[in-house]
Order: sequence, then C-alpha cells, then structure tokens
Amino acid sequence: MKKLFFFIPVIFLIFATTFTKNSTKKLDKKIFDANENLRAMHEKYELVMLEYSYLTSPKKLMEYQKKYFDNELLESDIKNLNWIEKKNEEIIIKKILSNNE
Amino acid sequence: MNKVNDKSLVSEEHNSEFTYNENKSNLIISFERIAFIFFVFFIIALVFSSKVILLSLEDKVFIKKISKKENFRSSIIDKDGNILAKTVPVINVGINPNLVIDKEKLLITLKLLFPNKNFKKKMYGKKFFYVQKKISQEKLEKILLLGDKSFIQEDKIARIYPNSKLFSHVLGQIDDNNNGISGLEKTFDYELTTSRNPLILTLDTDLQYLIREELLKSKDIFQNIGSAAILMNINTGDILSMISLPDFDLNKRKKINDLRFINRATKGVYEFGSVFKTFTIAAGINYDIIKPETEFKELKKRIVCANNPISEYDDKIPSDLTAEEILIRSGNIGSARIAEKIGIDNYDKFLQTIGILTNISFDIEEVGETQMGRWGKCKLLTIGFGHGIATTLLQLTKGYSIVSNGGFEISPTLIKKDNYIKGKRILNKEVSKKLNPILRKIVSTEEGTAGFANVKGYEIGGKTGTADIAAIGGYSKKKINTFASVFPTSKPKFALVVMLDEPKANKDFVYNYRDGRAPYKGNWRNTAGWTTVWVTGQIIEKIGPILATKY
Repeated sequence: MKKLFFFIPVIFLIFATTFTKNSTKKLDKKIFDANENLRAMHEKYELVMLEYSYLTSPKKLMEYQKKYFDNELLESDIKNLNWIEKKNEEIIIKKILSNNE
Repeated sequence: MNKVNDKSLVSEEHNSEFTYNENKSNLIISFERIAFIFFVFFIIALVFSSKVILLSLEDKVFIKKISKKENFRSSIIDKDGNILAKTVPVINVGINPNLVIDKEKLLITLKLLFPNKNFKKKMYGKKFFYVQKKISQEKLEKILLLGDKSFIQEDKIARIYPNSKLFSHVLGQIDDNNNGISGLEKTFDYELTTSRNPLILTLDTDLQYLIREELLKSKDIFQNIGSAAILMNINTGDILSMISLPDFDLNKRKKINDLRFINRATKGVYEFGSVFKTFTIAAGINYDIIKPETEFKELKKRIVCANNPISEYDDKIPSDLTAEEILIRSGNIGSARIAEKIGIDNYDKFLQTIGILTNISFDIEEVGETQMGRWGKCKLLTIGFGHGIATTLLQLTKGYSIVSNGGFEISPTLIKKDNYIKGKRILNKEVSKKLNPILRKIVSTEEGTAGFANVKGYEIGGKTGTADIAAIGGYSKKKINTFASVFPTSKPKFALVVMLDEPKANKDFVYNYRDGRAPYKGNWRNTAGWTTVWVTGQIIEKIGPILATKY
C-alpha cells in the first residue's frame, strides 16, 4: 500500500512534467517564431527608415521644393507666428520671438 | 695493532672521502641552478603579472582592439531619429582561377554580365580576384545560375551615409574590416560593434544642412579656401551643428590625406584675433579689476614692445575710451592695456578656467591643441587683443559659451544624454551680466563691427576677429575672419561661431544693410565684419525660425 502511495504521485509527476514540457515546447517554438519575425520586421523597418531618411533629407526636400512647388511655397515671417497656450480654459497667445526689440 | 691501525687508516680515508670538496661544490651548483631557474620563472611571472595589471588599468579602447569583431555595426542617428549612418549586408563575388574548368568560356560569360570590365589578365595571372564588390541581387542570381564552382561569395557589410557629405568630419569613416578609422566611427568603435542600440547624436540634420548651404555660398562670394561653423547650446554643451569645409563624400570611402580636408572646427589651430578681446574684458570683470565703465585715457595709436609694433586697425578710434567702448570698437591698444592691468597670473588662470589653455576632452579624436609661446610682458599684451595665441574653433566656442551662460562649466558634446547635470559656476556671475549687453552693442550699434548680423528678433550679440595668417618670419596678407556670436543676449541659449579661412574681398558683391540703408556695392575691406558677419547673418536668418520653434 505504501508503495502505491509512493508510485502514484511519481507517475503523476512524470505525466505532468511530460505534458508541461510538451506544451511549453510549442510555446517555445511560438516565441522563437515571433522573435524571428520581429527580427526580420525590425531589419525591414530599419531599411525603410534608411530610405525615409534619404528621401526626407533636407537636400532632397529642397530638390522637391524646386521641382514641384517652386512658386507655391511661401516663406513665413517668424515675427507673425505665435505660441498658443491653454491655461484654465483661457487661451494665451505668446510671441515666438522675444519682445525686447 | 696493525689491524687497528689499518682500520684507523680506512676510517681516515673514509673521512677524507666524506669531506671531499668536489661533492660539496656539486651540491652548491645544483642549488644555484634551481635558484636561477626559479629566478627566471619569477621574472617571467612578474612581467606577465605587470602586463595584466597594466591592461586592467588601461583605457577600455585598448582592450576593445583585441576583441573579435562581429560583422555588425549599429546605426548612428541624429537627435530626431534620422539615420546618419547605417550598415547593410552586401555580397562580394570573386573567382579562384585555379578552380575554373574552361577559362575562355567563363571569360565570354563574364563579358556578357559585366561588359565594362576586362578579366582576362586577372584570370591568367592571379590566384583570386573580385568580379564585383557589393553585387546587386539581380547580377548575383545570374552568376549563381551559371553553376560554376570557381565563384566565391563573401558576406560583408557596407556602411551607408544617406546625407553623403553633410556629416563627413563628424561621423568619420570605417575600413574594410569594420574598424572605425576616424571621427565618431573610431571613438565609438567598440559601442557600435557590440551594442544593438543606435548611437544618438545631438546634431540636427536640418540645421546642419542650412548652415552648410550658407557656408558653400560664402565660398562663391569670398573665394575662401575653407570654412567652419559650430552651433552649440551654451547651457548643456550639446552641439547642434558642426561643419568643416571642404568636406568629402563618406559613401565613396576614399583615403583622406590631403590637409585641405582637415577638420577646421576641431583640429585646425588658428590665431583668431580680436575675438579674444571678449576674454580680456571678461577676465577683467571676473577678477574685479575693471568694470564696463572703467575709463582708459590717452590711449596711444601705436606702442612698441620688444621691437614689435602694436597699432590700432583704425586710426580714427578715440584716445579716451571706456572698457565697453574698447570692446565695441575693437581697440587693440586699449585691450593690451586691460590685459596689462589683469596681469599674467590672472589671465593665465582665466584662460585655463574657460578651457582655452587646457586640452579639451571631446567625442572625436581629431582635436587640436592650443599653441602659444611662453608668457611674458609682450605676450600678455598681444594675447590681450588676440594675437600670439592659436586655438581651435571648438575651444573658442566653449570659451564664449562659458562667459555668456552665467559662468557655468560645460563640456561640448556630440552624444545625446538622457540627463544633464548643470556644471558648477567657474566664473563670477557678473561676467555674463555685464558682458552680454556689450556683445549685443557690437551688433546693434553703429560703432560696432557686426551690423550685418543684426537679424531682427533674435538679439544677436558677438565679436568679430580678423587675423593675419602667420608666415615664416612674420604674418602674410591672408586672413582668418571669425565671428563668435551668442543669442538671444537677454537670456543666451546658443553660441554660433563661424570662421572663413582665407576669404578675399569681393568688389562686385552687393551688401544689403539690415538697418534700412541703401545697398552698398563693392567692398575692399577684407575683415570679419564684411565677410564672416554677413555669412552669420544669413545663417541665423535661415536657422532662426527652427531654433525659435523647436528648441
């Protein structure tokens, strides 16, 4: 009887371990797949960012401006631009440049 | 008895054998041998131990060199996340002619694939040669379809710089084995090849581009052989832009040995002239020797020190001037008099404090060192108005930042930090308080020398410096024209220092005054006020809106 009480938990533990290991194996595989996908996506993202950095570099933007919007884009005078702040439902407009001059 | 005698004789012989000197001597030799071997091993152990201790104390960079390099290099990005340098995997394809079965047939095929290349000499004369480095996927597939075993593929990395020339001196280059050989690529070689995180810089691509464009335009107008500019946040030491012209295309990866391409912002050492007068006044205020209103009467137009004449640039400069007027009108004799009052010890201490006379610790290795002879009475006078001392543009920018930021210590940096610890105050707080309004007057008043930089709204303050370039036995007619500016002077935040190397006066250029006066054509004055100040004004006009809205 004593032996039975000893073996049943052991057998149970063996089955439980097998079952857990089997299920985590699947989980491990899923994690590995996800990591691999992430790595591939990250590489792709970095390449897209490289392309983006090149296409939106100031040099390129100036080229586009000359090519497509030569007479359409107007320079704004910084003196006409203001900061808008909302404080306690009150809107405060502040000059961007100092008023000392 | 005889027997006894015999025995006694034997015993004596035995004693004699026992005390044989040769044996004793053998024992000593063997001990010395062991001691000698022990000594040799001890010395070897000592040498290796000291090397191990030395290595552990050595700067990390040394250890970095012996660690194995991975085929990987992190990206470098600007403060807004734009990629400045990125590594991409590439494939190089080569041929081992010994493995080729039919050389003639392969040569025909290669001619079809690469019509502009001729491989005949290499095919019959070499053991290995590259067919194409950084081959395109399309061409690689065509080569693979040939099924020839003599083709050898090599997986390598290539560094791409999307802004090509824009950050050339700052970023630096790498060699074929993924080793950084200059600039940040060299200094941060270990971090870039071990960490997966990108290196984030303080630089702003937009500001860098706009400043470079203006410097390039200045070359067309003033025919200068080179130029440099540094834009720095004077409270944090963050460098927002650092340019040195001429620059080079990083993607072409050429060896740059030509001195024309020296980094004029950090490595080039120049006599900057009158921009040093600001430090003379600042030192006087710092040690409470002068005040801006301190009067200097009967200033001569010319003095002689050790047979070397010191004279005013402009003879119309009044003989009675206050310290403030001396700086505004850029008086040489007045500045020399102030320096005399300050004294060698105080002036030396002051220049050490603001980092002009100390070696600067910076993020790239290409850094020059200040050069000056020994202190003496005449040296003190000449340094008082900015001659007899040569330093780097970076140190000049640092000096101007400290004297105008309230006297707080800063360390110029290119690397973005998460937390900034405010440096300790190293100058009297009165220095900035009294100096900044004077710098403003140099730009805003008619007596000042920098009216072309008076861009409305930005409260620019600064000091001009026109210096003759030293030549053998004296000075040449070539100039270094500099303008060191800080703005806004009511609460300074930025320092912009611009230098033109050997500019020439342009007689056909039309200057538009900022105070509404009629345009002026034709200039024969090759001074900073007519060259560098004009360029700085143009730069601030372009970058001002970005600085005002983004920072």
